[in-house]
Amino acid sequence: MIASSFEYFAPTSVDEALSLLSEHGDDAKILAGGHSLIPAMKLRLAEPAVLIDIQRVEGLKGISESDGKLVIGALATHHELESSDLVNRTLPILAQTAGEIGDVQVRNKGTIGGSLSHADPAADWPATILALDADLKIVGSGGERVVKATDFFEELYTTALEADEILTEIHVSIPDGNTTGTYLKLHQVASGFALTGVAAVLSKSGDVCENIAVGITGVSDVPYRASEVESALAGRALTADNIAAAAEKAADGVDILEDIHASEAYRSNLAKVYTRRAIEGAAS
Amino acid sequence: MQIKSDHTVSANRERVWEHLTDAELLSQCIPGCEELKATGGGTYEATIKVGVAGIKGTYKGTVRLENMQPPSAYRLMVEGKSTIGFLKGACDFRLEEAKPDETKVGLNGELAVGGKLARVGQRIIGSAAKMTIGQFFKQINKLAATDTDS
Amino acid sequence: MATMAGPSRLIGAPIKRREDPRLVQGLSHYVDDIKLVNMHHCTFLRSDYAHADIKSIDTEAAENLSGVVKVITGVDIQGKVGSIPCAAEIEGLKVPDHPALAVDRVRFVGEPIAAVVATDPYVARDALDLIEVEYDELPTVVDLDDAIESDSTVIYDEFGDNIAFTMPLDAGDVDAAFAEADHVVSQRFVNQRLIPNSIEPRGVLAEYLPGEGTLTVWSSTQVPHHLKTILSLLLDLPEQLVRVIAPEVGGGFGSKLNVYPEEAVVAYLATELRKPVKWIEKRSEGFTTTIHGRDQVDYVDMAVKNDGTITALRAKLLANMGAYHQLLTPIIPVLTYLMMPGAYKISNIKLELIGVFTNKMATDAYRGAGRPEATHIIERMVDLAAQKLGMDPKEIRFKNFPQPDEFPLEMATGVTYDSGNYQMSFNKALDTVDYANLRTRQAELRSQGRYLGIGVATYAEICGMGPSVGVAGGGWESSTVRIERTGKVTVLTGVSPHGQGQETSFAQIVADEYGISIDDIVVIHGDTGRQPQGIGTFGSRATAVGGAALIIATQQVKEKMAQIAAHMLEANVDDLVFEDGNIFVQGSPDSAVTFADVAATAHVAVNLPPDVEPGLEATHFFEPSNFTYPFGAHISIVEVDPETGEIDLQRYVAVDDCGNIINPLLVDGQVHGGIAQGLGQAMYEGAVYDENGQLLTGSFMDYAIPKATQVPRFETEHTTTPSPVNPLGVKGVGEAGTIASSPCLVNAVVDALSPFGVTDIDMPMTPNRVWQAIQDAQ
Repeated sequence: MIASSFEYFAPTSVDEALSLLSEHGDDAKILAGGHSLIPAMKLRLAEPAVLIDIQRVEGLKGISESDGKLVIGALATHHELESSDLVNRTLPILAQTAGEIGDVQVRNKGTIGGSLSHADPAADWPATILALDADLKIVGSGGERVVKATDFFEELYTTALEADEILTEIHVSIPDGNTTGTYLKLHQVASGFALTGVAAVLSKSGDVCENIAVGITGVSDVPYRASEVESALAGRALTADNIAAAAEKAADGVDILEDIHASEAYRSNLAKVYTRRAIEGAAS
Repeated sequence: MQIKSDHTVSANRERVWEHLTDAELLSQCIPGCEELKATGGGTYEATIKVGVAGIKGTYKGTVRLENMQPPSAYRLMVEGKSTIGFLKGACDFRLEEAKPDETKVGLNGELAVGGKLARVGQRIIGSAAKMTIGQFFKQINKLAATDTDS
Repeated sequence: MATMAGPSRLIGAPIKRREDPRLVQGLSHYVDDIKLVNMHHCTFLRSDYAHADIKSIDTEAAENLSGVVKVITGVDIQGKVGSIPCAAEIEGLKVPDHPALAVDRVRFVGEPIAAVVATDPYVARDALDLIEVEYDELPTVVDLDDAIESDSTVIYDEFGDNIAFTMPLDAGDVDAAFAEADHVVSQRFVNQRLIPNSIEPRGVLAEYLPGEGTLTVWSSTQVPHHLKTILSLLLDLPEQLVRVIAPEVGGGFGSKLNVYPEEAVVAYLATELRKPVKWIEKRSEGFTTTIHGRDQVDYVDMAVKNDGTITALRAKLLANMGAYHQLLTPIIPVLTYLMMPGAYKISNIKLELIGVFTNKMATDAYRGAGRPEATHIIERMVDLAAQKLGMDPKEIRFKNFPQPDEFPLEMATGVTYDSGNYQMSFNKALDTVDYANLRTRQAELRSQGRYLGIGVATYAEICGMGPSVGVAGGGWESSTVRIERTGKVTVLTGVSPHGQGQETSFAQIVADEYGISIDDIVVIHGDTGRQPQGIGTFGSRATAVGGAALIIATQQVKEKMAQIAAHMLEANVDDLVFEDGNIFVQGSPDSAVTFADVAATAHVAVNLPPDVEPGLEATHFFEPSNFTYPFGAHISIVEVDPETGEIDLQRYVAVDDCGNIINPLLVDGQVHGGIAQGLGQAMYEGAVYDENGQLLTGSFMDYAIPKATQVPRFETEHTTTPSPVNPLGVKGVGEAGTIASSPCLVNAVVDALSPFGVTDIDMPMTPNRVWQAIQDAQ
C-alpha cells in the first residue's frame, strides 16, 4: 500500500486553493478528509501528481444558522454533523444520516463536502441532500455559483463541479415544525456504504401529506429523487396502504445497480421496503 | 460481465457506420483516447485513458474490428492493460435504420477485467463501462449529426 | 512424583494476559518493527492472470530505476531455490512442482513472478510498475464441479486431470442401511472459501553473515522450527547455521502454519546480496497470496429411522486445493472426512473425498481446518432429518449421542474419541436458554408474523494435534525448563504463540508446580536459536501437547531441586513442600530453604548431594497417545426480517467442554474470537472469484470480516470432562468456537424461515441470500 509520489500543497484560503487548482488542472486532486482518495492512492488506483490539501482552509469549516438556513461548511465532518446541537435541533435527519456513515473512524475524519464531491453512488449524504432540496455553493476561478442538489449529481462519480471548482458550503432551509424526516439504510456490511439508503422528508396537515421529498442512494449509478413516489403521495392521506402503494414506485424508471452484494431484484425490493419504512418513520 | 445497450444516433446508417469504423473518427469519439494507430487488417494500436473519479488508468492495447458487414453489423474486440489490471472485451454492434437520419445501434457483448481493477472495483466496473459507452455515443451523435451536411 | 505441590493457586484462575501491556502500549516488536543496518526492501510482481503462459518478462526498466539493486525472475533462481514443499502424505497424492517464482506458466491470480530489491520500499514498489510481462492466456478452471468433469481444462498436463487425490471409506453396511431406512435426507452444501486476514500481515526479514555462514530469518510464522528446517533444505544451507525467529506475531489462524515462496525468496536474496532484505506483505497481497480456508462442495445423504436413529451417512466431498499444494493443503479435508459423524454414533459411513486443483490460491489450515466443514455437514443434516421427521432438533441429538460410559469410543471413520459427556453440555446449554419456553415464544411470535429462529449445534471436534503418526511433520512437542542461579525460571517452549497467551498460561502451570510467583517466570518462544526443538502452535495443540511437555519437564527439574533441598534441610525428599517461594518439610514451614537458595546451591555446586549434577534444567519431548476430542453445545437465537432478509442475532450461548481449564479468561477469549470467525463465515465472509479466476473480493470494501459492533455479547459456559491423553487433562479450545458457530447460526436462520418452506441456505447468509431463499421457497 505505497502511493505513487506526488507533490503536496496545503493552502490556507479558498483563493489559494483555486489558484493551485487552475495551475495544475487535471493532475491535481483536492484532499479533504481523505477517506475515499487516500485508499485509492495507496492502491495506486488514483495517482494524482498534485494533492491540494484543503483541511487548513478555515472558511470551509463549521456549521451555522443564517437567514432561516443551516449553512454547513464543506469541511464539516460527519461526526460534527452527527453531534451538533444546532443540527439535531433544526434538521435532525442530517444528524441521523451522519450517524449511519461508515464507522466511527470514518465519521471523525470524513467530510460532507468531500463525500458530495466524490459522489460515490452508494454514499449516504446524497439521499438526504436531495430530499432536503439543498443548495450547494461552489466557487471557481470564474466566481461563485449555487447549484441545486437535484442538478448536482450528473453521472457515476460525476457532479456539476468543474475541474477548477471547489464545493464550499451546503445550504439547507430550516423547515417549520410540521416537517419531519427520516433516513434509513441497509449497510453493505464490508464497506459500510448503502446497499440502499432512503431519506424521506415530509410535511403534513392532519393526516394528509402536504409536501414530500424522497432521496434514494445506493440503488442506481446516480442518487435520485423518487418523484413517482412523491407524486403518488403528495396531497393524499398518509395511510399505511397509501404509503405502501407509493413506495412500490421507488425504483420506477431507474437503472438498478447489480453487484456481488445485491442483485438487481433485491436492490429493487430494498428500495421499495426502505422507502415505505422511511416514509412511515417520517410520518409517525 | 455482459454489455447490452441500445443507442440512437441522429444520422443515417452509412454515416454512423463510418463514424464507428473509421480510425480517425473513432479516436475522436472514444472517451480518453490518446492514440489510435492502424496496424492493418482492421487492427489498431490504442492508448486510452479510462477512468471515473480519480481512478484513472492509461491502457495500452489493441482494438480490432471483425465480421464487418457494412453498414449493418460488426464485432469490436478490445484488449488493454495498465498497471492496475487489464480489460478484454468483445462486442457485437448492430446498426438499424430507425427513421431517415436516425440509426439505432445495439450493443451485445462481454467485458472481462482482471488484476487489481477486478479485485477492488467489482462494484463500479459495470457502471463505469456503461458510462463510458454512453459518453462514446454522445460524442458519435454529436459528430455524426453536426457534420451531416459537410 | 515424590514431592507435594502447594495448594493450586493459579491453574484455573482468571489471570490477565501478561502479554497485553506491551501490546496495548505498542511496545512490542513485529517483523516490520525490526530494522537492520543497510537493510534492503523487497517487493513481488504478481500475476494478474489466473492461468497463462508467460511469453516474456522485461525487467530492464525496473533494473534501471535509481535505487533498485536487483530484479529476479523464476528462471534466475532455478536450481538455487528449491520448490515450496507439501508435507502431506496421502496415498496417490499428486504433488505439482511449486517454484517460488513462476517460471513459464502462472496458475492463479497473485502468483509471484518476479522480485525486486531496492534500497527503500518506495522505489521497490515503483519498480514493479516498470516490469513488462507478456502472457498467453489459457482457459481457467474455477468451479469445483466443473473441474472434475472429463472435458475440463487440465491445469497440470502431466496429471491428466484435476484430481489431486481420492480417499474412499466404506465402513459398515451403508447400502443395507439406506435400503432399510424409513427416510433419506439429501443435501448439497457449499462451504465457501474464506480469507484468513490476520491483523498482522505476513512479513520476512533475512540476514546472512557470510563470515560465519549464518542465516537469520525473522518471519511472522506459527512454525519457526519447520521453517528453519525447510529453508535449510530449499537453500541448501546447513540446518545448524539457520536460525528462525518468530517475533511478536499478530495472529495467523492457520495462515502462518506454512512455508511461503516469499520466505524462500527473501532468504535467498539475503544470502545472494549479502545484505539484510525485508518484505512486508501488503493487505492487498494477503488477499490473493496468503492461503485461503474451507472451499468444499459436499453431496450428502443420511439414512434415518422413524424414531430418529441415524443409521448411515453417505457423502461425496469435493475439496478445493487451489493451484498448488501449500504445506498441509491436502490434509485439511481429511479432517473433514475423519470427523463426519460429529457427536453421533453412526456406524455405517461411506465417503469419497476428492481433492481438486483449480486456478485459485491454495487452501490450507484456517481456524477449524476441516472440522467446521464436517460440523456444518452433520449439524445441518441432523436438523434436516429432524425437520423431515417432525422431531425437535433437541430430541434427534439426544437420540444419537453416545453414552458417557462408551468412551474411549472408536468411530466408523477410524478415529477414537478420548472422552465425552455430550448430554451434560447440551443439557447445560438448553437450561441456559430455557429451551422449552423459547419454543413457546417462537410459536407466539410466528402467529404475529415474526420469525424467530433457534439454532442448535452439538459438536465434537478433533484437536491437540499429535500423535506424530497423525500429523505431517511431527505431532510431538518440546519444552525446556531452566532455573537460573537467582532462582528465576526460564521456560522455553516449541509452541510459538501468535495470540494464544502461552506466556501467561504456561507460567501459571509452572508457578503452581514450584509454589513461586508467576512474576519469577519468563516464557520464551519463537526462536530456534533459543529453543532448538519444537513443532508449533496450530490445531489447538499448544496446551494439550506443549503444555504437557512443559509440566513433565517442570516436574523433572522439581525432582532434582527436591533432592538438593532435602540434602540442605537434612530431610526426606518425600516430605518436602514447595510453597510461597520456599521449600520445607510438611508441617515445618519455619525451617525452610528458599527456592532461590536451592537454585543457587545447584549452580554453585559445592554442596550437592552425591551423584547429583550441577544446574537445574530439563527438556522433555512429549508424544501424546491420541488426539483430543473437545465437544459442546451452542445455541443461537435470531430474528429474521422476511422483507429484507436481515438477520438480527439476539443471543448466543456456548457451552464448551475443553477438558481441564488452565486460565478461564484465555479460554473465553478463544471462544469469543472463534465464534466471531464462525459468525463471519455464516453471515459475512466469502471469497468470490469470477469465471476467469479473478478475485472480486480483494479488499475490505468487499470482503466483510465481522467488526466489534457486529457481534453479540457471547454467553460462555463450560463443562469439564478431562482428556486421558495428556497429564494436564486438557483438550484445546482454539478452534471450537469457529467449528460450532457457523452451523449453529445457519440452523437458527433455517429454523426461523421454516414457515416459508426454506430448508437450507448457503453461507454467507447475506440479506440478499436470505431474501432470495424466501422468494425461491414461495
